[in-house]
Amino acid sequence: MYAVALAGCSSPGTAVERAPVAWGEAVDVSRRFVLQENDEVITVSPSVQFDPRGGFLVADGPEGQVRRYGEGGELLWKAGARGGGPGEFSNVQNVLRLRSGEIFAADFQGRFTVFDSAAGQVVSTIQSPLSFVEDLQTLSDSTLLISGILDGDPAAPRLHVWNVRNNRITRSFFAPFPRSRNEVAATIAGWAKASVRGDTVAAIFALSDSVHLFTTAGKPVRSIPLPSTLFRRVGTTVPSDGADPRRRAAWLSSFDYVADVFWTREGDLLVPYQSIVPDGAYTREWHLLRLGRTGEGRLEMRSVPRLLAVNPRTDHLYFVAPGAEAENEWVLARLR
Amino acid sequence: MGTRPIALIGGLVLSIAACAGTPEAALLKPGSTIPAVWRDSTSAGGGPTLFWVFRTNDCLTCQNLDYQVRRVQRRFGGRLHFVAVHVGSPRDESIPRAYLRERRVRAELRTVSSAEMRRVLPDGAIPAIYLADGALIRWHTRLADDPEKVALRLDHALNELAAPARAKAADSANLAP
Repeated sequence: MYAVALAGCSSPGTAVERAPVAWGEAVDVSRRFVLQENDEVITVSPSVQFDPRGGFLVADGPEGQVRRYGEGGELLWKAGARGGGPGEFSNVQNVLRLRSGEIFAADFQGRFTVFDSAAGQVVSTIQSPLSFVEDLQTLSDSTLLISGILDGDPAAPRLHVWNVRNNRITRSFFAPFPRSRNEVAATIAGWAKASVRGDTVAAIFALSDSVHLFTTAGKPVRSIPLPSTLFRRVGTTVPSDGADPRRRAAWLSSFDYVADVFWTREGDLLVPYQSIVPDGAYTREWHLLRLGRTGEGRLEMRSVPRLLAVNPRTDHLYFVAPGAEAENEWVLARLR
Repeated sequence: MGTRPIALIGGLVLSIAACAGTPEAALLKPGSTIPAVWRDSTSAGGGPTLFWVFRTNDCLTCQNLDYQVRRVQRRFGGRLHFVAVHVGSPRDESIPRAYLRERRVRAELRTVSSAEMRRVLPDGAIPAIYLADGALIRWHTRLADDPEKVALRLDHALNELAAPARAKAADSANLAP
């Protein structure tokens, strides 16, 4: 396990910024659909992964549920509930299908649950040494890439290679916290996300205005500054009266957060970033950047629906539907 | 992806405003009358009502009872009146409105100032859920209560309150948590 210092990895000056493009000019929507709901299922805040067997896997943190949906949004399977018992979650963050066919779900507190995908029964529960778990990606037949804080140390590496055969971390890398400009903000918005394409991992940290590339072995390749003049970096100050909701919201809305990263089929990177709306309950406004692998800006869209998932084989994008009241209405789209 | 509400947050770095020096009211309990500051919100027919009481800051953390309210709304829907009692300033009302929308809870929103609320409910008892039948509180729970027991007890209380054939003279003591 080793940490990667990011100093010197960036190549400033390579970014080429472009003027923002409107949603309607850049996106072709081919289908709008609704995730099925019933007396036991309601979609509140979905994290989405493609299911290799078709359709989607969704983790819904506020509901403590993991679900499988068909391509048209039909509910095929569900498991989990809020709680602390077997098969229950305090805040389930992500879910994927293991190569064995079982469903692997990760709680924010680092508790992993493996479900039998047919009956939805709990196969095993594993308490990992991680917390603040945010993301899961498949690396190989026996390994996953998991983001989280190891042993409670925010300065430690955030991406961990997890062996599903022996339930151990075999390697860790990407330590962005020590280089953050504002430790309070980086504690609050301390998520790391990653996306894997072949032997390359693209990683983001919420308050880092770059995408960081690594080999799947954790060796740093380089960092690409986000090609945006509109992304607002966090400042170094913290409000003195943070208990006041208005002052706190004003501060949290004064900078932007990198939300995620996705590869396209051609090897471009899609990077959603978000702003906080000051008068909302931390309501977010979403923006989207597309950049080439060498960092050139290809597209920036502001105030767009939230990008949920990208199919790297087809380049289909799944967004929350424009104007949707809740995140249970999605659209299937492509970038022009 | 990127969904974690920005502050899981509030709780990590920012303390909730303390109410030191203010005498705190006794906890409302089964048999108590609904506080006057909530009463305007009671459904016109005096039927069963769920009051979900929370502060502005509770909308900005994950420490709330929205899961239980959403669950009850799915199960009991139109048989219950839902009131979200927001403890805070009217100028901050956009925050609970956005919170209710994002958490997919449909409820009448009523804002009560912290000073008013402190006369009827200690700050430490919030967030909380109160079930009322007419003018009387019949059951309550707090966030601090054992969550695994809350759901069972809440459902039992709701079945007593909201079931169409419920006994009119049900003894409130039977619904105590």
